[in-house]
Amino acid sequence: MWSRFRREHQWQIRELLFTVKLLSRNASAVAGCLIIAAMVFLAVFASVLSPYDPIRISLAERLRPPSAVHLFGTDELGRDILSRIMYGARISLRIGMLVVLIAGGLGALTGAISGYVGQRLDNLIMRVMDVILSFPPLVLALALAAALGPDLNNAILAVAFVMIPKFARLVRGEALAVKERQFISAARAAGAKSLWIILHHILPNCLASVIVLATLVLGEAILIAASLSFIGLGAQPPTPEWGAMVSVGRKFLMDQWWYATFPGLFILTTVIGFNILGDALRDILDPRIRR
Amino acid sequence: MRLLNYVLKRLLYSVPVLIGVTLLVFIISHAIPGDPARMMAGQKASREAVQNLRHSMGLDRPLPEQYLRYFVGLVQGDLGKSIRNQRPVLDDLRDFFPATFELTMVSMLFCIAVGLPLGVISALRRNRPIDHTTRVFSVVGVSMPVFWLGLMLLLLFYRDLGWLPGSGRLDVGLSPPPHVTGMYLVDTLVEGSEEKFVNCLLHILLPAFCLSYVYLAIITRIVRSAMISVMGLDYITTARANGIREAVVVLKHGLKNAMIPTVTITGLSIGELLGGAILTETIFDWPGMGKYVVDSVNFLDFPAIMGFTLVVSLIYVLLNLAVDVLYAFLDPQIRY
Amino acid sequence: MAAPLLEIKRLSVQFFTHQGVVRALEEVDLAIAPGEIMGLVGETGCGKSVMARSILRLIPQPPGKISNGQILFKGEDILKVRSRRLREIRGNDISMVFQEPMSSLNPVFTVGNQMEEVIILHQGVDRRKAQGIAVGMLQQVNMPDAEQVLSKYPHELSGGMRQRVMIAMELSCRPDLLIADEPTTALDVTVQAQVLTILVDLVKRLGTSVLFISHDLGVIAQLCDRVSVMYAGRIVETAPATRLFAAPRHPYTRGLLQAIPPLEGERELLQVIPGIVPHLVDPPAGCRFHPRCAERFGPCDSIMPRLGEVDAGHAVACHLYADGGGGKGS
Repeated sequence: MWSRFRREHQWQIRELLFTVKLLSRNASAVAGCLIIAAMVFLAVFASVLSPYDPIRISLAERLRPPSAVHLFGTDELGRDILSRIMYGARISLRIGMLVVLIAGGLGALTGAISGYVGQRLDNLIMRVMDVILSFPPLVLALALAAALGPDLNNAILAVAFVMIPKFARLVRGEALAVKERQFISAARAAGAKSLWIILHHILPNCLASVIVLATLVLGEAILIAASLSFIGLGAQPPTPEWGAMVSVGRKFLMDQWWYATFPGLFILTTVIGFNILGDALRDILDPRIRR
Repeated sequence: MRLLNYVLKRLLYSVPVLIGVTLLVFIISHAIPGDPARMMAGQKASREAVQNLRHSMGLDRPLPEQYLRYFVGLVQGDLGKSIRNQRPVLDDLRDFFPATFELTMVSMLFCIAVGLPLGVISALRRNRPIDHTTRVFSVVGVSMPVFWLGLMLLLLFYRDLGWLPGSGRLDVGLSPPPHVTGMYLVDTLVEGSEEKFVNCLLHILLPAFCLSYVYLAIITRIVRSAMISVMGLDYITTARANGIREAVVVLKHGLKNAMIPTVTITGLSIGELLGGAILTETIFDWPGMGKYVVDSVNFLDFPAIMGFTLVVSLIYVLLNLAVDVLYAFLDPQIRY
Repeated sequence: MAAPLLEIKRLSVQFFTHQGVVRALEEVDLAIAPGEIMGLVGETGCGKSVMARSILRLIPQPPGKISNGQILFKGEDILKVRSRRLREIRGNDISMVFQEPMSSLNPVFTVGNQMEEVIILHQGVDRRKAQGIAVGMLQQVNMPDAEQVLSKYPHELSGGMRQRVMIAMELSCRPDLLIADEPTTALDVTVQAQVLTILVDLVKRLGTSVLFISHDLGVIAQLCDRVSVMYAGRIVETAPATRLFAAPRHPYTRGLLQAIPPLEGERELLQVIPGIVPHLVDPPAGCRFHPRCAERFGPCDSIMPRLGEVDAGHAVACHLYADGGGGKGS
């Protein structure tokens, strides 16, 4: 059964292995992967790695500076900041992945249908996308998150909504290009239904560029969600989300610099990881360079 | 003439988009939980009073009609009343607009003044140290959480070095200049007060730099990339073959072409500036629209939040329109 | 014979690439007399463009490198002049017309702007005067509505018109030498003839020498006074045009001419030269053509033949003719 899968998809598998090979040669791709891997590692093994329980309150140890005992210091309730940051990795990665799945899924499907069906429907859908894109991303996410209520899940939905047009536009462009090619006419002539064609032919052809976009959007989503949490609209206390931690840390900035510094540093590093990986992927998957 | 045609066409196209923006804001405001009439009337009002208020606000009419009322109100400048202070939201925004405008303007100027040359130099000195530095800076820039950057800047320049003030537009002891444009940098000069001008300059330095950071990274990156593409094209060789000085080849023949994709992308990225302003103003206690909306969020002042969203997005659409016109001005091929 | 206008002596150019050092030009010799149209013919990739660009030092260094040789223009070695002098020469004493009219003109400036820029730069006149000169040149290339064309953008003109603009622009400062690198290759056949006629008429009237580069033997035969044949980065034969086509000496030249199918006569099998053009990273030792040459012998695979006169004005780089017109076993 596995060998049958291998046979049917041998071309894609070869492309994949070639991509991986190119990636391993690209310094920034490797760097990006390492950063992301480190964050994933922290997230997955947070419960094992974290030196303390992230919600363990210890008022006697409040606002301690970084030391051998507490590497990143403690917060105003005596909780270990390093441990909270580790658990925060879980949250941030979860935010990123959910946003990409929701926005990517809905956006890609919408774009594919729009591009494939064309004409009035395409016009309408693209106008709607234009309207969404007419809002500065953070502004729209803020409005949505405020309307839905201050909650991390609402923030995720808000950010996902803002990201949908990016995927929709990308996939629509690819759909328009692919639609004219002969194997589509062949499939139609053979009686294939439109939806099947969309799923089996159009979407797989967009895979490369969608993956690049997804990587970049993942980073951007983490950033916007952290900004929302900072304002008070995303994660609510005591959730150890990085943006929320910086928000609280701000109150203690002058005397307890570590509180706001470390969580923000992790946001920066994680997003850098996704951005350089995304850029490297974009360069590698560019068909002109692949030969 | 062709240019004028293009501008009119673009303006026409903007209209449905602007209407769409108002529609989306309207839809979002109806997702708000809670009863707006009750919120306006207050907890203590009787059921009847709330009913009356609901009726007078038109909240018991069907949705499309409500949207129409809303739209008509918008055109007349009615953005609703802020729950916090019972003032019309439009008045609030009008008060806070100049501060945001000043901050954004200074940031944009800084970005263009620094980003353009940096991108060009980076493209010309590819793979040399300056290029590597610029590229690293670009990646860090687009990944930067603006609110965190602001806090770090405060730590360094305010707490540790003490060079720059940490909040506000002006020292507490000084009185603001008489209102001419609302932009303190301009107004203090009009007033003739050098001391105040310097003070305002010092106050705007950190927030402007913080706000510029992301946008600067974007501009530098795109200028670099555009210049690299352009400098490899045939007409550059032609110019050189005709004996034109390298500086002219780069700055006249190369840069004008490179500006075309640059203008488009930086236009789209103004959204980053507008969004970043929200965070920057909060960190630096800058009394602009961004801080206003964050305060409104803490209060759950929905009319204010929605009013802000609408106004800022309309500005964004108009700015992008201006960018499109600029683009057509630069690229003769687009007018046909 | 009068002193040559341009004399290229032992020019060698290399490119440093990932795959190795490409020896694009190897000890190339060429001379162009005043008022003469010299054709440079060879297959794609033989180095014609590299040579053309080397004359005006337009080879990007890195990855290119002019490693050896002299390019004497009226006695002055272009390879050694300072940038200021080089800029004086470019567009003024020596001009160049490129292959792709679509992309050789800057799309964001008008034709007038680009032409006037060159004229003002080299002739020091004001804008008004420059406009007049530009219009005059456009009329000389038979451009209809010459004054209107000045305010047009390149994309508003057809390919043929754009190439005529290029020609007008490059001749506006009355250069002594015009380098035309495949000027009509990118144009439709009908437009080609038109542009070529205009070009030749104009240069004859102005007395401009031309280095005319092409892979089209027919065009070369029609237009040129003298022809040089290039193969794999070397000049293999140079002769007056009529002589070259009537009695080619070098085996490669002969092969080229034989490969042209005749318009009349019996249909025969197309005579091709066996083998393919060598990769210039690791060219064959000795004569670069020897692996494909039916007449190769002894020294051909180890010693590189130099251009030697076999007749008045006719030189060949081939061991068959070394030591003045000898043959095998001489």
